[in-house]
Amino acid sequence: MTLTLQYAVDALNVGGLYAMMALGIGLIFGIMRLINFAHGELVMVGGYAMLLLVQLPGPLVLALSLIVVIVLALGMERLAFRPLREAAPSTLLVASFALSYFLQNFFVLVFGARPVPFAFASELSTNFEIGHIRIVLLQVVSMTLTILALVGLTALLKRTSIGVQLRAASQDFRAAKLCGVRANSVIAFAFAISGSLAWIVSLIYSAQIGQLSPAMGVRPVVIGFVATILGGLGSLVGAVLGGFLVGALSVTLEATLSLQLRPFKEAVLFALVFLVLLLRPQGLIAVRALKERV
Amino acid sequence: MRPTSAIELDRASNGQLEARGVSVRFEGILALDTVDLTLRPGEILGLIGPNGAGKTTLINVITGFQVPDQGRITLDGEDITGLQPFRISRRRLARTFQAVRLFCDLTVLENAELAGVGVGLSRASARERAWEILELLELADLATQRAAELPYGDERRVGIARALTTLPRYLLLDEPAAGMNEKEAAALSRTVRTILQKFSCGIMVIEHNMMLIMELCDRIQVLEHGRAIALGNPAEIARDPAVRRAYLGAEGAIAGGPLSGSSASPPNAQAGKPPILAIDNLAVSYGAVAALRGVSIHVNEGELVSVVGPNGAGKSTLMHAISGTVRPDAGEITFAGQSISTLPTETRVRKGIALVPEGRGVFPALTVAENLLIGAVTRLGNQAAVRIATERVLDFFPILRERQGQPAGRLSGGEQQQLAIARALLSEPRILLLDEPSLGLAVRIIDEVYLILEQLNRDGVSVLVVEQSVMRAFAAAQRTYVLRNGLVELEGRPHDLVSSERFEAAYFGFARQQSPSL
Repeated sequence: MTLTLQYAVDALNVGGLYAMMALGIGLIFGIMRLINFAHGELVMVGGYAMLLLVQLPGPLVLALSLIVVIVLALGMERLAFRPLREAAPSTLLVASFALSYFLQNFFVLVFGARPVPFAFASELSTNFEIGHIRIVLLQVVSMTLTILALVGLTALLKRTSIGVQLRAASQDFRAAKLCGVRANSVIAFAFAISGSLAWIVSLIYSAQIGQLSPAMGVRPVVIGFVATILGGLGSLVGAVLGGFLVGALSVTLEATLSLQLRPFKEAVLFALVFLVLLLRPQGLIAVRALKERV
Repeated sequence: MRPTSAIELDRASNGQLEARGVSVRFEGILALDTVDLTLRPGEILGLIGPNGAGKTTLINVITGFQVPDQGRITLDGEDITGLQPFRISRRRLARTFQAVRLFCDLTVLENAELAGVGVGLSRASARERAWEILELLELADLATQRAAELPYGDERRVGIARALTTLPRYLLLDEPAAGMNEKEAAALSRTVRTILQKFSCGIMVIEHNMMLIMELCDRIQVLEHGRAIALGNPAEIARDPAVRRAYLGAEGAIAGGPLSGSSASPPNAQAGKPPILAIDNLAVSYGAVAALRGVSIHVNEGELVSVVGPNGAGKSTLMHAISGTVRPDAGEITFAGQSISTLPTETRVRKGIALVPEGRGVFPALTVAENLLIGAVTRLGNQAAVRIATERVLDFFPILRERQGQPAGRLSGGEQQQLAIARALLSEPRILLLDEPSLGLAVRIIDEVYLILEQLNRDGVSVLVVEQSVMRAFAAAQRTYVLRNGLVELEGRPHDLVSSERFEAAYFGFARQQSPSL
């Protein structure tokens, strides 16, 4: 019983992280049909920004690193993606790969490829027990952050005008423009949110793995992307669901696979994802706008 | 029977291609409703009908791209319902596509040849056959050109050549003349006759170019809203009142007598003032396809103007060029005395041009209230004004007030159309553009929509509406343009136009009295 609870807590934690990655990717895809693989580098840059700023007082580190990530996200949109806005989705995809590799290698150049041990607020790894469940403080913090981020994002998208505009534009960009919605502001807004989500991931993720490296964003972005597909590309609710589902699968596998099989956890995980998509190719939540008329 | 060449195979063919009781449902809407169709070898059958009639769906069912919910397709007596498309083409039933879909990196010859290989020929015999067909269609000179480099008319003819390499006994052509000018269409017509002569196959043609259809076909079948409403020779079809109604709408709304209400004399139009919207010599093309070939129209302040024309005339393109969602190749658009040709869409909306797009363009997952909020996005700075404007719009459309909390996707078609108009009004447009507001709506609802437009117009909003449903658009408008094949064919007061011979000639490309001359 306690073990099951422990797994549930773990699953929520891991799933929350994936959900935020998936949301960050899904948000941008929904609005401009761009699968932004450089999203992982936002996570990476967030980590290094904290490292560089670590001498400053804690709140300032948080605020400044958030600003750095948002500025980078906006810069990506302005310099790399805006000139390509009319281009085919595959062109955008390739551009995002190029950007991703550029940033990774730029950081290799500056900081070296070797991982740097770093954990912002290392006191977060303190343990405590409730009943018989062992809980790491970091888990509580990351869960709280995840919940706050999801609630905050929902409020933003439902309650504010720019949020409603964003949802409208991701359903039908042309119709939104025909209503006078400013394409540039809505897309910039989406990138800012996407950057903020990446920053939260970078905060939690770097604390979890305890180190930074130029390639650290690759794994989260791949899993986040898989979660987006699983949830149904273009659906934000789907992205969250997909994230939690991949998290739950991953933790379940960790718990149930025998020791010899455990190194192949990811292979099994992706095979399962594959199976789900065979049964439901449109993802958990189908988005109508993507259907093509033959 | 002496086969003189690779392409002259068994001419003596009995049997026929038959569709019996075919029904197809898309998300609750009947796209095809128990449709029967027969195509015999040696004849040319025209399949016509207004936009959304189900023509392409029917071809898709016959060629295996769409599995019907009901009904059977038989080919010379053999049931082919639900077979894979390639199995059907190996039974020598070939089609072309509305969009040509050539393999653009291959040469013309390779394109034609591939289809032969596709149905199981060796490369050599496929090539031999492809050569013969290219020669037959007078395309041999182009054999080594890459398909991507072809001009549009040739591209379409290569599409037909490719279909012919499978030596079809039945050939289905989906809008072969779409986007062609009259000369190209005439050449196409000759090509189709040559094919008939040489292959004796059964040819079915979907077309909006009525002139071509009337001139080419032995028999014509008419679809409307998924049902077969008429079948006969061109003369019979041209006389059939049901066909006329399907295209032009019910005549009752306008026939005889003076026009309803405001229409006879534009009350708001201010003579002498420059028009609120002027379009000068506008040309738009999509790739090689010309959609508008130099169109000039204008709307005066306070006027309600309609643009009518058959499918493919360029009506929606005109609307999108005015709103800035497609870029014109040439021409000038002036709004309230200012050139707006280079402005982005959202700026044009802010200047006072609101478009209610075809298919309404409501945001289905957003609530009615949220949709309206988006409509008012141009006036965010002034919350109080937005609230007042929203209230006024909701008074105007009481049904929307009741539905405010519902997702727009759950509204009925008529309610969605009202929402789309309401949303457009919230940007306080000086001119309201509507692209086929009657599409997909029941007659009673269409009348309601037009009553709303007339009332808005009386309140001072200039309106430009494009329609396929001519008669309804006529009744409301003070002035009308007839658009066909990317050109303005006719302009005038609806009342004068409707009774004139010239109107039908302009709309269909032939006059009622002339057509049965085959």
